[in-house]
Amino acid sequence: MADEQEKGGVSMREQAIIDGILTEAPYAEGKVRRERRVEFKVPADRIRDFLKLLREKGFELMLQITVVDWPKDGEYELVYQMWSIEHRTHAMVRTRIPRELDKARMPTVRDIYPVAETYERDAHDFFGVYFEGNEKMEMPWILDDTEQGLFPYRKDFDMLAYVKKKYMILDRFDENKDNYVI
Amino acid sequence: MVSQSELVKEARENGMDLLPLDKDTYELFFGPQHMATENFSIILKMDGHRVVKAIANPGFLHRGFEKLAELRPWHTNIALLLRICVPEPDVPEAIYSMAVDEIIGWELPERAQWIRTTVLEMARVSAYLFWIMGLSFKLGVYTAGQWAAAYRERLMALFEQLTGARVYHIYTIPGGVRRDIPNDAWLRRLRDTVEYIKGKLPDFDHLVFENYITFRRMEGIGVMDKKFALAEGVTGPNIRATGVPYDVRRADPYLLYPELDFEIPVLEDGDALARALVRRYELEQDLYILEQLLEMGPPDGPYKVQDPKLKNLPRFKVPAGDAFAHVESTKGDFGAYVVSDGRNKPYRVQIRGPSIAHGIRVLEQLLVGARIADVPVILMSLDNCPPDIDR
Amino acid sequence: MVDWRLFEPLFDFARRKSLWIVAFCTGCGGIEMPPLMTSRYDLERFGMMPNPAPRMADLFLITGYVTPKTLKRIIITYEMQPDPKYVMAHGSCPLNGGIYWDAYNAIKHLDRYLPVDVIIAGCMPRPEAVMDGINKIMEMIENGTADGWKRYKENYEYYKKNQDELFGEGWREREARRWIPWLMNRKKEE
Repeated sequence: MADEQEKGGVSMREQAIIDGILTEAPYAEGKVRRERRVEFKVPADRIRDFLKLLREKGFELMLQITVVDWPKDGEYELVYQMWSIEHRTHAMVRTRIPRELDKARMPTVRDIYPVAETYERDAHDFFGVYFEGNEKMEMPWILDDTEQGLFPYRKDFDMLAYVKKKYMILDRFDENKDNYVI
Repeated sequence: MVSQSELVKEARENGMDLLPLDKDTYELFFGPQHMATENFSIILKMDGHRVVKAIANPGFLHRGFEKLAELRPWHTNIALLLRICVPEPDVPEAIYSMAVDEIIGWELPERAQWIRTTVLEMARVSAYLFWIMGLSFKLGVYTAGQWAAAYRERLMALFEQLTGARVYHIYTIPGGVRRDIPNDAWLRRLRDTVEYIKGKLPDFDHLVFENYITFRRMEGIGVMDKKFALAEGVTGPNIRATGVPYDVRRADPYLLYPELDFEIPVLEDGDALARALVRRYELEQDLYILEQLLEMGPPDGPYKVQDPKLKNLPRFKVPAGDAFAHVESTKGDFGAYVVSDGRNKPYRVQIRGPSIAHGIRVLEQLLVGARIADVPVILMSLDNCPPDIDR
Repeated sequence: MVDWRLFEPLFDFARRKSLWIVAFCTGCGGIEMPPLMTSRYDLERFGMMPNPAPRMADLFLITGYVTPKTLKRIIITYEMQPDPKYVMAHGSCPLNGGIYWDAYNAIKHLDRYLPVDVIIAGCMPRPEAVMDGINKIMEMIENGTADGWKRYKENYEYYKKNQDELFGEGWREREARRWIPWLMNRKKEE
């Protein structure tokens, strides 16, 4: 009995946080996943307003911007991971943008959360997402000059063929084998 | 045969002499071959001995973990992903296992939780001792550095008895831990080690933390305030030294931490000395946590989830879903985001190391105006770990 | 005139009893360097110590895997060292790629780019294993078979060809000039 009340109380707290945000952002959807984890879905062009709203509502830290590649849907899913010290909650803000390299563009959020500059450089180097307004898009980040422009974390990048071509190690690895468990 | 003088002549002909950048400044590579940085490079624009502009240059340790993890089965990734944080290798194991446990949705037995908590706390103590060794070598107090390395060796011997390896223990897996505690003598030895290290903390205070030279070298440099730290995504002891009491073990409790009693040291100044003192107080608190865990004793029961799926590890499948898990490491807030689509290999694994926030933008802004002799001290007080950034 | 070749045994004794290490922590295995050099597995009793300047060092420890970006700096540092110089590689990654055998950013076969004298097995090798390797280098110096530096000079075209194929021609100048536009804000003005 006390357990249920507590469970109801805890997820009620997250539900209250979501309701407080969704009243001012009707274009978004929100869901409680478990205690201290909430999730929002936002269309790609309203991301800046939504993050400004989150900042006012107490989500002070931006932890990471993750890009997940879904080639079957033809889309990239961008997950902005935010943490609120005040509410002790983690929020995932999801958007979807098209996957083709000339269409994968997003507005930058570095004036709202300055650390997003580094995360956007990361997403650009590995996936090819271009963030407009971020002036460090062409600055070299982690990849060396030979791999710039190859976007190695995409699902259609064949790493083994690239390794064979670059390091010229031939006929050591069996291409017919699908399963490299030893 | 090419001699040194021929190489130098060739370099001069190709215009590689030291050219000044503009009238007053020059470029300095605070490069990877340096005793202070661990294979991390900073490009400095200097005016005399003061830094005018700094650019962080990571990428020397990049191996492409997030792509490699998609090609290996779930449990093989433990052996791979743990090489992300080199001084504290239990932390990436723990976050990956916690995220996969959350996707599957099973409940860990209590003995497994006790063992995981103890291993994480031992890793924290050994990482703090490694940090004290690094700080002492950079400040010039070589005696304290030798002591810290020697005490850390006792913990490495305990790790070797428990897991089989000194540094890369492939021990925490989704579903529990791989082996049980060997015997009761291991617990006695751990208790003796904790008491021994606790008894040696006053020596470190005399030499490093209460020393007038440390205060002169570290006070007032590399200052950040609360607003700056929150905007730049800084976590861990760096943000606790600016007055924000954010610790993942209290904010988002995991494993056995709700039942343990410990304090979170918070200081207000935000300079390099405050960050160093926060770490010193936390070392004391971690030893106190280990004492409490040893008093509780490991509960009886299995050390792994009793599930027949765990017998055939290469074919181990995880249902579709995603999860986020984070853990407090000595560097900050270490997080993992794992996406699964129902096969026996992960779909996407993203590891977020804490140094990506405070090793790039914070470092570039804190170094402006510093003297060249302060650059290693600022770097060490932020506790930058380059493999976190590069993954 | 004095025939200095008569003194080779004395020179080899001096060389192998005071090897200085270049302080460059190139990879994973760098975590076992401090335990090796401090009081438990004391390395200074063999006369070895880490030294920041490559001009004064004999031994280069390549501790673990090597990425192309690091390999450029390793080659520049190696060429700055005076002869005779020795290279010791740790772990299975310089040997054949190790655990990163299908990674695009880890060198698979280090011996094609830099002459290696001794490779130590392990992932990562214990400090005792590293001392065993150092013992082997000392024996090789005594026999006269530690000739990595001679191989580098004689086969310089072979090594240079492999390096240029991996990095592209003229990589030294490009690396030296890479950051100047960003320090001078020139890209913004253009």
